[in-house]
Amino acid sequence: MCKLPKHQPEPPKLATRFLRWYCRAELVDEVEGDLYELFQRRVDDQGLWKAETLYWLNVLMFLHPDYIRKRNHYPTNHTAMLKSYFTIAFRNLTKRKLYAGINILGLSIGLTSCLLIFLYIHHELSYDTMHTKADRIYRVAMKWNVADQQIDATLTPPPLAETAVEEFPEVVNAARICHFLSTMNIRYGETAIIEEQVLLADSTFFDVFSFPLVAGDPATALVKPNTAVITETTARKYFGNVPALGKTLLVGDGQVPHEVTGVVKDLPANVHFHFSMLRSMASLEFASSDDWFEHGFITYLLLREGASSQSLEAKFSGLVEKYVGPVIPQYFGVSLETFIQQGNQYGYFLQPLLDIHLHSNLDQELEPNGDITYVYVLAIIAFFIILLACINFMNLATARSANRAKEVGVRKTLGSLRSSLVGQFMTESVVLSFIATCLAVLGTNLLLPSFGNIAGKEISGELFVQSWFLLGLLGFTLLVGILAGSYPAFYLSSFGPVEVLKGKLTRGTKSRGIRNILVVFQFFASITLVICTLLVYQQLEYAQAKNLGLDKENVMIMKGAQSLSESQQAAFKQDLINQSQVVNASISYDIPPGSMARTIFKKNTAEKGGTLHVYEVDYDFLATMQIELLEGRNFSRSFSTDTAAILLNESAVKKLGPGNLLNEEIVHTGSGKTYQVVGIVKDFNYESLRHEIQPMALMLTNQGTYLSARINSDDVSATVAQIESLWEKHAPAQPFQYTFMDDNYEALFRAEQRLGKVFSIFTGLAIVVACLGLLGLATFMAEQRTKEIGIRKVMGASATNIIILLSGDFTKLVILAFVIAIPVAYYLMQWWLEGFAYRTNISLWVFVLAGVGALLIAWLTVSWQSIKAALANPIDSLKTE
Amino acid sequence: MKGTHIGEFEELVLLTVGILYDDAYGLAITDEIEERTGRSVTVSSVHKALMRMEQKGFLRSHMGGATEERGGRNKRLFTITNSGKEALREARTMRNELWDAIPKVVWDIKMS
Repeated sequence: MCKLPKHQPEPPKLATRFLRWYCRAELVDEVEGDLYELFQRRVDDQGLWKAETLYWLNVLMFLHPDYIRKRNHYPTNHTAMLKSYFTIAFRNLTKRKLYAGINILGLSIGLTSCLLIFLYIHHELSYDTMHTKADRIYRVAMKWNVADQQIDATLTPPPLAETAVEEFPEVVNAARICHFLSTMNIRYGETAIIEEQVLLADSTFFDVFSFPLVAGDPATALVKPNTAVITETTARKYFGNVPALGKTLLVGDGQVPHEVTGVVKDLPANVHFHFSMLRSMASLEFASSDDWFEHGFITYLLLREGASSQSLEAKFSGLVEKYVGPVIPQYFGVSLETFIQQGNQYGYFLQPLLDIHLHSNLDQELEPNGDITYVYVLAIIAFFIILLACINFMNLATARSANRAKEVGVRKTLGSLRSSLVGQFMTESVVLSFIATCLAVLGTNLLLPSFGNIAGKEISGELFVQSWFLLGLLGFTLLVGILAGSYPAFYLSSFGPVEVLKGKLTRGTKSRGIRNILVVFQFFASITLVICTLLVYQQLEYAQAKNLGLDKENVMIMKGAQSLSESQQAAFKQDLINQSQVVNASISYDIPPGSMARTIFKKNTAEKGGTLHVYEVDYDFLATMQIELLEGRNFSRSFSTDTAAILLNESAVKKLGPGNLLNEEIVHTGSGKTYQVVGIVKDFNYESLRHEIQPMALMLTNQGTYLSARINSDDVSATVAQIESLWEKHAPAQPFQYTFMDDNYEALFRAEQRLGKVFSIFTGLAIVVACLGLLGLATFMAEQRTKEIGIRKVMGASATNIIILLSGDFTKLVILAFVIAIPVAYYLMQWWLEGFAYRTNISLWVFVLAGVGALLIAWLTVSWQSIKAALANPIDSLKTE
Repeated sequence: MKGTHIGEFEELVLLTVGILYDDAYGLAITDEIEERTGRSVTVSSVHKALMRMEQKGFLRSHMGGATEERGGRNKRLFTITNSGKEALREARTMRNELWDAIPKVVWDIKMS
C-alpha cells in the first residue's frame, strides 16, 4: 500500500480497522479498495458525514461468513467459554428454584413497575409534541394584581393576537381560541346531542397547530362566519358514514346553522386541549371587539424560527402602555401610571406550548393539566422500586455465597482466572435479569389498560415496537444484570482458594453487615411509601368530608336552562318545588363548585377595592344549597329594591373591610353601580380545598343557566325520572342533562384520588419486592442454622423459641428501618400538605399503622421458613455429616 | 442442468462482467448494474455473488492495478470462464424455450 495524499478525506479509521480485523486476508484489499472508492465519490456527492455513515454501513454489510476470517490459531475458545457460562448459569438456576424464582419475580415486578411508570411519564412528556411547529408556539397569558388579588389567567383581550402579528416582527402568525359556553346543544335532523368541548377558533388555527384534516381545506375552513370543523367521531355521530363536508348543523339554543367545512382526524390524548367541534371565530361578534380590557380569548403566537421569546416578552410592557393604558381609567378611574403606583400590576407573559401540560396551572385553563411534581414523584418511586429489586438480588447472591464458596475455591485451584469467575457470576445475573425483563414486558402489556384506567390516561404500548425503546430496554436489562451481579461477582471471586477449601471462611457472616444495611434500606423505603400513601388518602378523605359551608348531598343540577325564557324558567321551578320529593329549587347562572366571573368592588368611601367572585342567583339559592346566613337577611321578594342588593361572604367582608359592611353600600368599579349589602353568609367552599375560600358576592337574578333542586327521597332514580318528565314538558327541545353536586365536588379531587391509587399500587409492589427479599434471606438463614436449630431442639427448645429466635433478627432490622422512615416521611408529607389551604393533621396512628403493618408483613414472610425449621425433625438435620 | 444453474441476480452480475470486459471489478460492476437496470444494489451483495460464482467456476479473477482513487488498494478483476459463458447461454436457451411455450392465445387476449 502506498502513502496516501494528505488532502483527501479518509474513511472512518475505526470502520477500516474493524474491516481489516474480521475480513479474510486475501479479500481485504479489494473490499477496502471498492469501499474507499465509493467513499470518495460519496464525499463529493453527499457530504462527509453521510459518506462516513454509509461507509460504516457497507463495512457492516460485509459481515458475512464467506468474508469472516477463520480464527483457529489459539487454543482458547471464547464462544465455548461463553457457552459454558450459560450452561452453568442455567444449571445453577434450575438447581435452586426458590432462589431463582424469588430473584426473577422480584426483578420482574420491579421492572414492570418501572416500565409502567416510564410509559406514564413518557405520555406526560409527549403532550403537544404532535404539532410540527410546537417549539415555536407560545401561549400568551395574563398576569394581574389588582387590589391585592393575584390572578394569572389564560385569557387575553380580543385584539391582542392581531396586534402582536402586526407590531412584532418575531410573530409570524397567531390564533385565538375561545372556550366560553363550550357545552352546546347541537342538532342535525332528528339527532340532538349536547356536545362538550365546542370551541371557537380563528381561521389561522390550522396554520399554527398541526391537526390533520381528513376533509376540507385547512386554509379556508374557518374563514367564513357560521362554519365549523368537526372531528371524525363527531361527524360519525351526526352523519354516520355519509360525508360530513357541506352539511349543516344547528348549533346552540338559537339553532344557528353552521356549515361543516372540515373534518379533522380524532385528536390524540396527549394534547392540552380537545374539541369535538371548532366554530369559526367569525361566528362570534365579540371576536372582532377591540376592547383591551375584555378578557375572553386564549392567544397562541407562532414565532419566527430562531426568534427569542424573552425579547418578545420584554416588548409586552410597551404593548400594555399603548393599548391597555387608555382603557384603564374607564375601569379604575385612574391612569395606568397611578394604577401601577397604587401597587397594581397588569401584563402579559409567554408560555411555551410544550410546557403547558406539566408546568401551567392558570385560571381558565382549557383542561385540567398535569403536574411536573407528580412526574418527579413517580420517577423517584420507580427508581426506588428497581433499587429494591436490585438490592434483593445482591442480598440473595451474597447470602448464597457460602454455598458457592467451595465452587469458587475449586475453580480457582483448577486455574480459573478471576476474570472468568466474574464472567460466570455476571452471566448468571444477566440471564436472570433477561428472563425478568421478558416477564416484565409481558406483564406491562397485560397491565397497561388497567393502569391507564386508574391513572385516567390513555397510555399506549406502541413504544414496545420501536427499536430505540427495545434497544434501550435491552441495555437497561444488561445494566441491571451487571449492577445487581457486580457485588456478588467481585465479592465471591475475591475468596482465597486455600481458606475456602480449608473451611476457614465463616459461612456468609462476613457479608452480614452489608446485607443488614440493605434490608434496613428496603424496609425504610417501603415504610416511607406506606406512610405517604396513607397520608394521601387521609387528606383526600378529610377534603371530602370537610364541612364545606353548604350541603353538597342530594342536590341535583340541571344544565341548559338558558334555552327557556324567564317565565318558562319560573314555571319550571314552581313545578319542581311542587314535587313532594323536592325540598327546594333554585335558578342561577353559577353553581358550586366553580366560579368564572370575577369583578372588583369597593366600599363607597374607600380608595381601593377588592376582587370578588360573583354568583348570580335567585331568592331560593341559599335555601337550596343550605348556605348559612350569618347576619342580615336573604334576598327577598318583599323588597323591590333588592335588584340592587348584594350578599357577601365572610371573606369578602374581610377583603373590603375594615368593619362590618352590613347595610353599607359598595360600588362596582367597572360600571359605577351601587349595591347595598343586605346580608352576610358563611364562607362556603366553591373551589378545590387547595385554595383558601375567596371573597364572594351573591347578586340577584331571575334567570340562569342552571336549575338546581334539593331532593329528599329514598328512591333517587324515580325522582330523577320524574324530574326528567318535567324537563320534557317544559323544555322539549333541550336534551335532559343533570349531575349531582357531590359528584362535582369529588371531581375536584380526581387528580389526587388517581395519584392516591397509583401511589398505593406501587407502594404495594415495593412491599412485595421487599418481602420477597426477606423471604429469600429467611430461607437462607433457616438453612444455615439447620444444625443449630436441631441441637437447640434436642436440648429442649420449643418451636416457639425457635420461631422467636429466627424472627428476632429481622424484627430488629424492620424496627430500625421504621425509626429512620418516620422523620423522612413526616418531612415529605408536610411538604405535600403545604399545597392545601385546608389540610388534615399528620396523625400518629398513620405511623403506628405503617410500622406495625410492616412488622407483621415481615413476620408473616419469615414465619413460613421459621415454622418449617422449628417443626423439622432434628434427627434429619443432625444425622448428616 | 443443476451444476450450471444460476440465479437471476447472478446472471445479471455475470452479464455485466461480460459487458465491462477488461475492467470488471466489484464497484464498477455495481455501478454498471445500477445504471443499466435502475435498481439499487449494494457493493457487498455484488461481491458475494462474484465470490460465489468464482467458486462455481463461472468466473476467473486476477489482481489488477492499484490506482490513486482507491487509496492505493488493488482491484480484483473478473473475466468470464467458458463454463460461465455456457451457464449464460443455458439460461438464455431456457428462457427462450419458456417463451416459445407460451400459447399464442395468451398474447391475443392481452392485445384485444
